[in-house]
Amino acid sequence: MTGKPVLYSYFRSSCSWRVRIALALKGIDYEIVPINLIKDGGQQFSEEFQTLNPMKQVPILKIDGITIGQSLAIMEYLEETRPTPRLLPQDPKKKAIVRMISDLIASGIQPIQNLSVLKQVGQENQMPWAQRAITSGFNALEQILQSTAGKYCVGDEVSMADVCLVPQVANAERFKVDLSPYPTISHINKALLALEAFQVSHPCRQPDTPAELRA
Amino acid sequence: MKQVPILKIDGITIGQSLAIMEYLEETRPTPRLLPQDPKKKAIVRMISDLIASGIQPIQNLSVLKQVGQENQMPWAQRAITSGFNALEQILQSTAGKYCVGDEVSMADVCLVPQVANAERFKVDLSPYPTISHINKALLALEAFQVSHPCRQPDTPAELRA
Repeated sequence: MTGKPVLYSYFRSSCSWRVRIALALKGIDYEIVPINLIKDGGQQFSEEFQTLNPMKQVPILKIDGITIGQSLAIMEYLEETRPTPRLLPQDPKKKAIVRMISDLIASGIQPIQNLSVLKQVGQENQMPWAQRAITSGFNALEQILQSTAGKYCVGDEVSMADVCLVPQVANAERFKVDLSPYPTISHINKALLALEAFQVSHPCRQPDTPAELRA
Repeated sequence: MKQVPILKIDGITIGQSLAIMEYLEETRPTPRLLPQDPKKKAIVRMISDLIASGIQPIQNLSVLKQVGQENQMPWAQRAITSGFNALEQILQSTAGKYCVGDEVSMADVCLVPQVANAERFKVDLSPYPTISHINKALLALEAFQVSHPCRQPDTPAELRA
């Protein structure tokens, strides 16, 4: 037992990537236990994992003697217990905007194009379904960012909103969403990908990244 | 996002119910909706997110419209059942009088409306005794009554309490 936090993660899960980014931004050393969402019918359905997370989803973080699911709840806990560098602005109004953008992505877009939902719409419908969810959300997000963005989603400091944005853009690319209607999203995404925390946590650099996708 | 709720407060406009509630908690901190202890707070947020990201968006009206009329009920039931299976298990270790211990929290605020959705979609709640029990206790509180869908300015006459 090293006492390090343990993250149950899938390389390509956008929700897992959010937590990996947050941990990297805060300089928190951790262990990864890869959970393959496809192999063996989905390792998240094993009895062992279900006990850890009844939602049968990644990410899960074991830290300070507790087990937390839900990426935003995990990040809020990290913010409270390891407050620097900040992921949330100090000003309550700016903080509300950061949370609103994070929720827009984490509740408004991602769950609808999540693997478990896609499985239900039928193979031939998956791409248009996912594209529709992402397009719908990005139409709103692009508009919001036009008034909130500086260098990043909200002003000039990296926040939880940025942590949610990059993995969602990666999902958009994976589902071949045309990003040209979203110049603000694209511009911010590019700036964030240049930062180390977004690189070390990238799906192409994880212990469970398949050889053909590895950076 | 072309969705409700939106709150205009203190000169700003906030969407996303959890972001709104977090702002209210920070600016009007009493009575508390989040425990002071960071670990308990994390559990409250996890349960809130489970409902607000893990269940509701999947049975939201805009998604239901896409699955076709005859598929709507089973689709919604599946989303809710899947989430409630997990939630029931979690609550068995976190619940006291309410979702997390004995104080009303954001988790409870998310629970009651989701149970109402479950009833609307005719989900059998008998596998979820903890959820049902907490829901009943919460519905007895004034805040959950005055805010109820059956008592709103836009409640249709036939549904009005």
